[in-house]
Amino acid sequence: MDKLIRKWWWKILAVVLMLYVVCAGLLFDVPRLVILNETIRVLHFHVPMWFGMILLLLASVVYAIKNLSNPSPKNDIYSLEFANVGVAFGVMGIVTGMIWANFTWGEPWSNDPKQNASAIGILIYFAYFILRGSIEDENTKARISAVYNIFAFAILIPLLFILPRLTDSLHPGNGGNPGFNAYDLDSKLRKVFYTAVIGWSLIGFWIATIRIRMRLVQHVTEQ
Amino acid sequence: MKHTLSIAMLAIGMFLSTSLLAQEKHKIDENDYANQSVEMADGFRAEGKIYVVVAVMVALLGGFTFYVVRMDMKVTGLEKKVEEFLQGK
Repeated sequence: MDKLIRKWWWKILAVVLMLYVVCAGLLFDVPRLVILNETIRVLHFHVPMWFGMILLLLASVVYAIKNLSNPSPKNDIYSLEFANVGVAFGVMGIVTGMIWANFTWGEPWSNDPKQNASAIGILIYFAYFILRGSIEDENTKARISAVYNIFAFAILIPLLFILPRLTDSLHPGNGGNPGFNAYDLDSKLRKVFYTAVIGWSLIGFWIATIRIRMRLVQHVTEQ
Repeated sequence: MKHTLSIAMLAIGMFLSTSLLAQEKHKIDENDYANQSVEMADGFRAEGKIYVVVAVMVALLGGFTFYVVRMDMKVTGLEKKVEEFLQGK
């Protein structure tokens, strides 16, 4: 990982994929659906935010567990910055979702179970940063926040992927809605969408690695 | 860095102000907009102008990519400096 974060090939790949996503996502033919109209293209930009967030937060929790079994400032920094960029992706997901919802569901916030759950999830992660800020001792901070990180991720998964499916939701694939498959089965959309998920996630990891490296340099200079 | 930035800002400001002063020469009217004899990049505005949106987003992507690449390179430089310092100790 230490070497990988300083390599260029996957960063170039991220930019190339994103270039494809922007061009193809806006220009390729899309299914002509009522209410959605052209906004179906938001699929390539809104949904990958959540995929990116989950992957980044997963990386964060992996390093939190690593930090508990093998405490080191490096593991703590990795865990913190993955969470940081992950939450930024989540906020972007909520904002883009609200814009999309405003024009398709009629209002930016309709208390949709998935909307509420994702807002709660983001708030739980905000508390993670507040918790970190409130502890002076570095070792205690690293250990307590690693434990909290694991709990936060453990509650986020049911919040986003299980609870919204138990009730009616406006989001596709939940409740009595015409599944995500309606878009997913379309091979043209799928091509761009999967590329978008990979591209956006790589961009997220790139930004996270820069933050990690900055923190590592800062950590060395402080000693 | 700060100096180059302020000089660049000054140059841009001066350039903009001169173009404002030189405005009285030729009055633009409706005929200029309807003039079809002059070739313009009309294709770029075809099909509901979606290409403009694509251009904007590609420009944003390029701009942010440049920004992130610069940050990445800056951190690489810092890392090298720290390493050299540690080796010198």
